[in-house]
Amino acid sequence: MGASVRFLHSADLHIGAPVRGVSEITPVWEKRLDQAFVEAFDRLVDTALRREVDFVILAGDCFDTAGASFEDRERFKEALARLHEKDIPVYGCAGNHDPLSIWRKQFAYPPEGLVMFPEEAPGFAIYEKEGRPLCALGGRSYGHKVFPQNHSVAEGLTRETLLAQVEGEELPPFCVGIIHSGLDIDLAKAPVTPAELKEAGLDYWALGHLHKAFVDDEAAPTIGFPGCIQGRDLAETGPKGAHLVTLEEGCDPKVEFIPLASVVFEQPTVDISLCESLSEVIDVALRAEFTSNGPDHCEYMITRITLTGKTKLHDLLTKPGVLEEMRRELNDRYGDFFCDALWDRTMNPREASSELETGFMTSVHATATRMGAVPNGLTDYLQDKLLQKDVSLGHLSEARTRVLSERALDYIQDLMQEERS
Amino acid sequence: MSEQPTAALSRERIHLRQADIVHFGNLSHRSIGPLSPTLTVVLGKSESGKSSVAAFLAGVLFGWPQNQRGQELFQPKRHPREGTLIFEPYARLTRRGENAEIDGDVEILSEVDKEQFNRLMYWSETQLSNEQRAEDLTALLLASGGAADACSHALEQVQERIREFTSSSALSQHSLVRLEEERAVIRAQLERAQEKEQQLALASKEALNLKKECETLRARRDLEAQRLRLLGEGQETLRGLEDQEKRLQQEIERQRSIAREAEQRKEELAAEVGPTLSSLTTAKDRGLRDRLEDLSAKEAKIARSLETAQNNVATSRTAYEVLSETRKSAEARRQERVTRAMQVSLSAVFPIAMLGVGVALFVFGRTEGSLSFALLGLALVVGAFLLAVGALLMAFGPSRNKDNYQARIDDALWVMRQDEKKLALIEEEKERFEQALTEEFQGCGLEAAKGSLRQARRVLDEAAEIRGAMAIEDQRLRAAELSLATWDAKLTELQTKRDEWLVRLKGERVTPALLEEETSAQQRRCTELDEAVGRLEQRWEEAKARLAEEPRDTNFDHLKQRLEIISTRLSDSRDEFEMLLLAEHFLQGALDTWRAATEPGIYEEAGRLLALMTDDRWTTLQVSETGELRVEGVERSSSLSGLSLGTRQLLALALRIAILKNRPALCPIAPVIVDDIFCGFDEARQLGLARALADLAQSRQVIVFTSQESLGNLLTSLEKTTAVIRLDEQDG
Repeated sequence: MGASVRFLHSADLHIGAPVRGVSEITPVWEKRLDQAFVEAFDRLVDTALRREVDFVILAGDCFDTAGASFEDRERFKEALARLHEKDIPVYGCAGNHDPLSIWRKQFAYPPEGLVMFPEEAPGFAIYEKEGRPLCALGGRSYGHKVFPQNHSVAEGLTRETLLAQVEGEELPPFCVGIIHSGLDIDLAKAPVTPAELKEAGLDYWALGHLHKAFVDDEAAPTIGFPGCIQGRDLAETGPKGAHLVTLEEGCDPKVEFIPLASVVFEQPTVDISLCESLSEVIDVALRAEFTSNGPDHCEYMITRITLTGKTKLHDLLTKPGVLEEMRRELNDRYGDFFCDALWDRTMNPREASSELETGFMTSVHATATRMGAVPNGLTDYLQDKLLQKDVSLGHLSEARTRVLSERALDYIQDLMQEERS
Repeated sequence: MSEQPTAALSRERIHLRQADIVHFGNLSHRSIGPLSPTLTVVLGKSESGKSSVAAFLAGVLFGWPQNQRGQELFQPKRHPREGTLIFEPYARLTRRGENAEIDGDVEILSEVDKEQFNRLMYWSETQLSNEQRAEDLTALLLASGGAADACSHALEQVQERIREFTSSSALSQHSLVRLEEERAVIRAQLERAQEKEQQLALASKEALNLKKECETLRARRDLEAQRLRLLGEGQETLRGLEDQEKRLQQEIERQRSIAREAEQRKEELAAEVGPTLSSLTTAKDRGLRDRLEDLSAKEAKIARSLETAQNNVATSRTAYEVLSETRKSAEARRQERVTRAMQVSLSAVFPIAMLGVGVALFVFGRTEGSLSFALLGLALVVGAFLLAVGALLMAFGPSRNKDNYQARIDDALWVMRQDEKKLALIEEEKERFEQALTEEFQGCGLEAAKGSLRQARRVLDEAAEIRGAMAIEDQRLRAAELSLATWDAKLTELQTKRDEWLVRLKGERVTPALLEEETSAQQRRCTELDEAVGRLEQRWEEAKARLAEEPRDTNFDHLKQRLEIISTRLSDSRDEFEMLLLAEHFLQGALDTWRAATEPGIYEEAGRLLALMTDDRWTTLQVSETGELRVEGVERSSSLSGLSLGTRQLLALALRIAILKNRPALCPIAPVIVDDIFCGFDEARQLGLARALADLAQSRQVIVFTSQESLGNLLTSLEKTTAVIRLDEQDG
């Protein structure tokens, strides 16, 4: 059997990040979210020790831009010390959220047990096992929050340059690159093309930045994103964790996903058109929560549930306080899930009853279509209105405006029906 | 314009006659009036209070003015706002206090609507600059309240909800204003918490850096202390090595003396036994002794041979003499005869007997046919014959006794002669032996034995004893030499060790004095480092104390999460708000289309007024099937966005005037307030606007606030019943 190396590839720990997209929270859940990131990292370290990996990779964004508290940083250092104690080295690069300038400001840099690659040029390290070189590693950090646009983050990281760092005659059989990059998916963050990475001839590229797990080729992966170990936005749904990577001479790399999240997020859409009562809606919503939690491998979950479908309960759901009361009831039913928001996107099953209503709604739809046909017309309108009303512009986009337009038309329809009733 | 309709108007409708300001803004105890039921021009320079009076009129009617964030406007410094409006036919409205309590003939307010008033009857430069789009103009139409159908009500609901989002009321959960404010508060708290966290991080970093520095300096101090110990130890070792060297040299001298003594004694002993025996080896000694044994055996043998020869000579001589003298006796002769007779008889009897038996057996055998008996008988016959021949030869042979006797004498003589010769030979051999012994002794250093084997053995024994003594001396000598070699090696080793120590301590060979200096210097270095470590440790302790004093519970994480929660609520509210804005937009667009079909009179009137104000450059307003408002002109037609800013503002005014003219029931008691809107227009348009206002004044009370004297004159010339009020004169 040929030589082999096994390591945990993780990235985007975002320690110190508040969870985005939460609009309502109880103290218990706030505590859970507060601890979620460091606990996920503790779980990563436990896994590394239990699976007896050769080393651990942290491919950037260990800390969030929001800034980690003193306690969180201390826990991070303690976790690193646990690995250091068992002689498991940790190799890392700094990302756009935690460039080296931040590390140097926040830490007595570098923390014990962590090998950080530099920002000015590629850095290298040799992992040795039983006195023999087993794996050459190369990587590059962000020095500041933006990586220079005219440079490739992977520049200078090739099999030749990595092996050139070996001092003895024996060359390590494996070469691994570590960078924080948006690949060709997010072109704003140190983009590189998969072809450029593959040309470098390394056995595996451990990347960070994308918060969703990804490999370039399921059968023979050479470029991987493990995603974040803990979702930091309610929109970041699904399981979160790290990659357990095994490289073996003469074999394709093997990547196993290890779930690590403390709390997962889901945003199920629930069709309640068959529901006869609000109680039934709550039952259906709870079932939807359990169904969406199935593949997540995590007991704690926060959800934002959208109710859809044509239902006679629509009028009831639009009454003030009804949705909030249902949300509370839903949260009381099962304590390990927390519904942060319950959105009503249901439709009234009644049809327009008067010529006036029908004609006016036709006119509304025609107007909306005409206005929507002008490129950026509605977005510009919103922009002018927001400025006029002294409201910050926020994130305006055509796609978002289209979604809002649909909702606006539904809302107008509701108002017209309400007026009629 | 004729006076008749104006007079008729003044008789028919209620209008504002006078405004009495008690306290409002910078104004106090001022009366504005009398006001014309048609057109009133209030003239005043900048900062004379024109806008305050305009706001006062609206404030008494609809409540004291506030800005969008709910802050009170025109608030006097020391008094609550207060004032009265007097109408004709007589009616009075008084508003006072911060709660804007109103008293008087409040029933006249039942026909007024604040929103309609603000939209349609209160014209200011700010309002004009904000209302340039089609939907704003549509809102004007809606504000006229003419179409109370479901569609316009839906729009009202949307606008009501939009107001919720822009309201600063604490009751409004979705208020963007309130959420923004809340976010700003949390952000400020977060910044403070972040600052504390930063201090904590810095304190921690400082403590850690000091710890590292301490560890580095301690390590250096330990190294220097180790070097100092090494120097001390080295000096001690060097002193010990010197002592050892002295002792070694003494011992070497003693061993050399022992060696000399042993050598001398050996020589003395060797002289006692001679060089041959003193150097005799054990093997040679053993060989010599074996040789002596052999010689002794040989000497004994010769001695025995000599003795035997002497005895043999004596014996043989005796025997010869006896035989020679002795004769033969009678007894001897008789004996000889008897013996002869016996011999003859036996030689006859036995052969006959054997012959007889043999013949008998032979016959018996022949008879019986037995071959064995026959052969046995034959053998016995042959045996008997041979035996008989032998006996005859013995009986008739010569006498042996007589010959034997002579022979015995001859033999005795011969023996005697032989023994004598043998004795002589042995004696000769003995002499040769003794001669050879003497010579051999001389060859092996045994001269002192003087040819005696016994003496030789004694000499050998004595020599062996001396050699033993010599061996002992030799051993002493060797032991001394060995010791000398050992001590020499030790001495060399000591010297090497000393050299090594010197090199180890200083890197080069140095003198002990230099080493002493080096030790003192090292001592000083160690003391300085101890002090530096002490200072650094103190700083470290202080840093740790500072770190311990820094508040841990900064609420940082909680505030971050709260900020996110507020941001999410804000985002959700913004979604809803923007959705409502779009709903409003769609509804307004649809309503434009809707109204264009249902209320064409307003657009016609607005078109006429626009033509009046633009000197017939733009003449007609039209709404397309898709709801788009377009303006037709002499040269071209244009959408609203294609018009200049000034034209759009005139269009908005034209729409207002058209609505007010077409809706006489709309806010009948409230005057149209025109607050300094003329400045932005050129003279021709000012004239056009003045004409339009004069036209409106035929059906509505209009109060124009301006700083332009010429405008007052123009309006007076256009409408004869115009009242002119000068704020500056009132001041005077």
